[in-house]
Amino acid sequence: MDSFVSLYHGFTIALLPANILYCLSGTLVGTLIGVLPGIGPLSAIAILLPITFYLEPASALIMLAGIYYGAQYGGSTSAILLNLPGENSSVVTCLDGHQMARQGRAGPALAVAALASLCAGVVATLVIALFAPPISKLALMFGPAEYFSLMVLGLIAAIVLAHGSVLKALGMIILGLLLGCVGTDVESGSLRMALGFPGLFDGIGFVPLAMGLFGVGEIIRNIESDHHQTVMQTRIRDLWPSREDFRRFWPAAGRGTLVGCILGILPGGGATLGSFAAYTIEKKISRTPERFGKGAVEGVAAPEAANNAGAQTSFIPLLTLGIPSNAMMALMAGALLIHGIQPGPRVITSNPDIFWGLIASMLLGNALLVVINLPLVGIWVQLLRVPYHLFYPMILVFCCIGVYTVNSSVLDVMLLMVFGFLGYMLSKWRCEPAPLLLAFVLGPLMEENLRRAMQVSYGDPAIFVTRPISAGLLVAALGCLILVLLPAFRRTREVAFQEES
Amino acid sequence: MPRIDRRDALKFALAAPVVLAAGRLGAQEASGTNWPTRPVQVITGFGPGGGGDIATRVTFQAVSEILKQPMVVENRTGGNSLVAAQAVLGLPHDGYGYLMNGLQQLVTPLLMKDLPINYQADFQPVTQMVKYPETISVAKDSQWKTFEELMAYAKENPGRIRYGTSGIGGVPHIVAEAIQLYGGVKFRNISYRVAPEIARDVVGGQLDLAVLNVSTLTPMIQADKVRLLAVGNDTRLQQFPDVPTLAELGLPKANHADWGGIFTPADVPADIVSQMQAAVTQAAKTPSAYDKLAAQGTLMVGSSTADFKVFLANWQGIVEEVVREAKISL
Repeated sequence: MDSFVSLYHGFTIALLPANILYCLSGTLVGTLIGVLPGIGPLSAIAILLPITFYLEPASALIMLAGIYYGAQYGGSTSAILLNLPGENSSVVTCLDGHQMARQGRAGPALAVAALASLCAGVVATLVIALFAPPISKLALMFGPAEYFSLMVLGLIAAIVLAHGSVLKALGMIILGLLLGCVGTDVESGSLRMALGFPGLFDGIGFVPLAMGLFGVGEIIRNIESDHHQTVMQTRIRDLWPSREDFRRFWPAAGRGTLVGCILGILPGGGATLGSFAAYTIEKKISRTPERFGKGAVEGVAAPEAANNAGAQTSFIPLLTLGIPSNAMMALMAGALLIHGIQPGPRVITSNPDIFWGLIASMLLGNALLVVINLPLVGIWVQLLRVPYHLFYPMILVFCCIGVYTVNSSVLDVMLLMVFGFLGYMLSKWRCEPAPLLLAFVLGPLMEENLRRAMQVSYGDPAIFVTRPISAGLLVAALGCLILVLLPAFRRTREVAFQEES
Repeated sequence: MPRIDRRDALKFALAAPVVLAAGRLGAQEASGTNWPTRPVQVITGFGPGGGGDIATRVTFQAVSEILKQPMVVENRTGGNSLVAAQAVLGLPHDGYGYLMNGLQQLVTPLLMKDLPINYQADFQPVTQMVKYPETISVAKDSQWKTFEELMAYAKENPGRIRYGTSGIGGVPHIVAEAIQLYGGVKFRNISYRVAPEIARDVVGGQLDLAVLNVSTLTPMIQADKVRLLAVGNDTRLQQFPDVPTLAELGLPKANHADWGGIFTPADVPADIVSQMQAAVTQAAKTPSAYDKLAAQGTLMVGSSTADFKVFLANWQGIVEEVVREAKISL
C-alpha cells in the first residue's frame, strides 16, 4: 500500500502545471525525433542534456524520459510507413507493420502500435511502482554465464524469426556475427577488420546498418519496380483496426508486455532482446505462423508492447542499483549526476520526489502519447499519398542527416549507402535482414560474455550448466533448436516459403 | 613527456608576432585580447552521460559563465579518444577548439602503432581539469576484510583473484597492473566494455575485486554492498577516513588517481591558452560546480599549465614503466 501512497505523492508532482508541460513537450519532441529516420532519442537527449542544467531535477528527468519513450513510440511510425528502423527495437516492427502498410492497412498498424505501447506503458509503470526494489535483485543474479546463455537462446530464436529457408537464415546470422566482430576486441584491445578507419574502432554503427539494410534497400527496390508510382499509393482501406484485429491484438500485447518487462530489467543487452523475443513467441504459439511477415497484427502488437515495456523497466536497474542498462540510461544517469544526484539505491529514499514523480509522469506521458498520436494517424497515412518520386529523395536526405547526427561521422553515411546496396541485393536473393541484425546485436555481447564467463570460472565450461538460470536458458535454447530441426516443423516452414514465392 | 620545452616556447614566441604581422583576419581574431568572441567547442572522446562527460559539462558550464560565451561540449566517441582528438585537430587552430582527454593521451601512442596523429607534437596541455580517486573494493560478504589479507591470499594463489577492468591502458587498469607488479602478485584480468558492469559483477559474486573510479562505485557503497580496501589518491578520502591509500599500504608506485585534462592544438597562441587555463581554474573554485562533482567523488582541479606539464611528464614515466614491465600490449 505504501507504494500507492508514494505513487499518489508522485502524481502531485507530475501533475504540477510546469511538469505536465515538460512531459508534454518531451513526448512531443520524442515522437517527432522518433518519426524522423535515424535521429534517435540518444542524439536528441545528448543535445538536450545541457538544457536540463536550468530545470528542476524532477522536471528534467520527466522531460528526458518523455523523449525516450516518445521516441520508442514514434520510431514505430517510420518503421511501419517507410520500413525504416531507427533503433533496434523497431526492426521487428518493420516485418509485419510495413507489410500492413503495403496492403493499405497503415492506419490499423499505427493504431495497434499506439494502443500496444499504451497498454505496455501502463503495466510497466505499475510494475516499477510495486516491485522495483525486489526485482532489481534479478539484475544481480545475471552474470556473464547467464548473459551468454540468454544470447544463445536469442540467436537460435533468430532462425524462427525468418520465414524463408533455414539455410539462408543461418547464412544471414553468420554474416551478422561477422559484421559484429568489426572493431576493438574488448579482451585484448586489438583491432579486427577496422581497415585503419578510427571510425570503425568501436565497430559498425547499428543505425547505418539497420537503416541501410531495411530502409535504403527498400527504396532501391521500389524505384526498380515498374509500378513504383503506385506502390505506396495502395488504397488506404481504413484507419481504425477492425474487430478481428482487436481480438488478435489483446493477448499479443499482453504477452509482449510481460516479455518486455522482464528483459528490460536486465542490464547490458537484455532489453535489446525484448521486441525480438516477443515476436518470436507470438509466431511460435500462433496457430497460423505463416501469416507472420505478411502483415499479422500480432507481429506489430507484441514487439511494440515489448519495446515500450522494456524502455520503462530499464529504469529499474538505474534507479535501484545505479547500473545503467543501455546507452540511453547512461544519459539519464548523466542528467541526474549533473544535478548532483547519484543514481542508485538512495534515490528512492533521499529523492522520493524524483523517483515517484518520474514514475507518475510515465503514466501521464503514455496517455498523452496516445492523445497526441491517434489523431496524427490520419496525417501520417496521408503522407503515403505523396508521389514516390518526390517522396524517396526526401526519405534519403532524412536518413543521411539522421545517420550523420548519431556520431557526426561521414563514414557512417557512406556505410549507410553500402548497406543500402547490400540490403537491395539481399532482397533480390530472398535473404532476410532481420536475423542478420539480431546476430549483429547479440554476437559481440555473446562473445564478450562467453570469454568473461570462462575467465570467471577459471576456464571451466561447466559454469554454463551448473548455474541454474544459465542451465534453464540453455535448455530452452535446445528446445528451440529441436523444434527447428523437427521434420514436421520444417515441412510447415517449407510450405510457408513456397506460398510466398 | 610532451616535448614542449623552452626551445619550443622560444620558437613560438618568435613565430607568433610574424603570424600576427601577416595580418590574416583569422590570426588577428585569434589574438588573445578579445577572446572569446564566439562559442568555443570542447570535444571529448568520453560517451555522453559518463563520468568524464559529466565532469566536462559541469566544468565548462561554469567556464561559459566566466568567459561570457557558450562552451559547446561535444562527444566524439571511438578509437580510445582518437576520433575526438582528430576532430579537434580538424577545427581551425584559433583557440576555439579544445580536447578533454585522460590517460589515453599518453598511453595510446605507447600501445598503438601507425597513429594518424602525433599527440605530443600536435597538442599542447592547458590544465588538469579534474581528478577521480581510485577505489580498490570487494563484495561486502567477501572473505577479505583488509587489503593485506587480500594480498596474502593472492601471493599464495597466483591467478585466482579475478578483477574487472574496462579500458586497456586507462588509469584503473594501470593501477591494477602496478599493484600486481610492485606487490608481487598475479590477478586474473577480466575485461569489460563499461565500468558499471564491473561493479554489478563484484556485488553479484562473479568477480573478487574491483578497481574503479570512486564515482562508478558510489551507488554500491551507498547500498552497503561493497567493502573498500584501499583508495588510490594522494590523501585519504574525506568521505572514507578509515580507508588507507595504496601508498600507506606500501605501494606508493600504484597509488594513483584518475584524471581528465584539457588540451588544445600546439599552435594555438599562448595568451589564449593562459586565458582558458585561468577560466578553468576559476571554475574549479566555483562552489556550485565543485559541489556537484564532489557529490559523486570527482574533484575539480584547474592546475596551472606548468604544473599540468610536470604532472603529464610524471605520468609518462609511470605508464612507460608499467607498460614495459607488465608487458601490456595490444
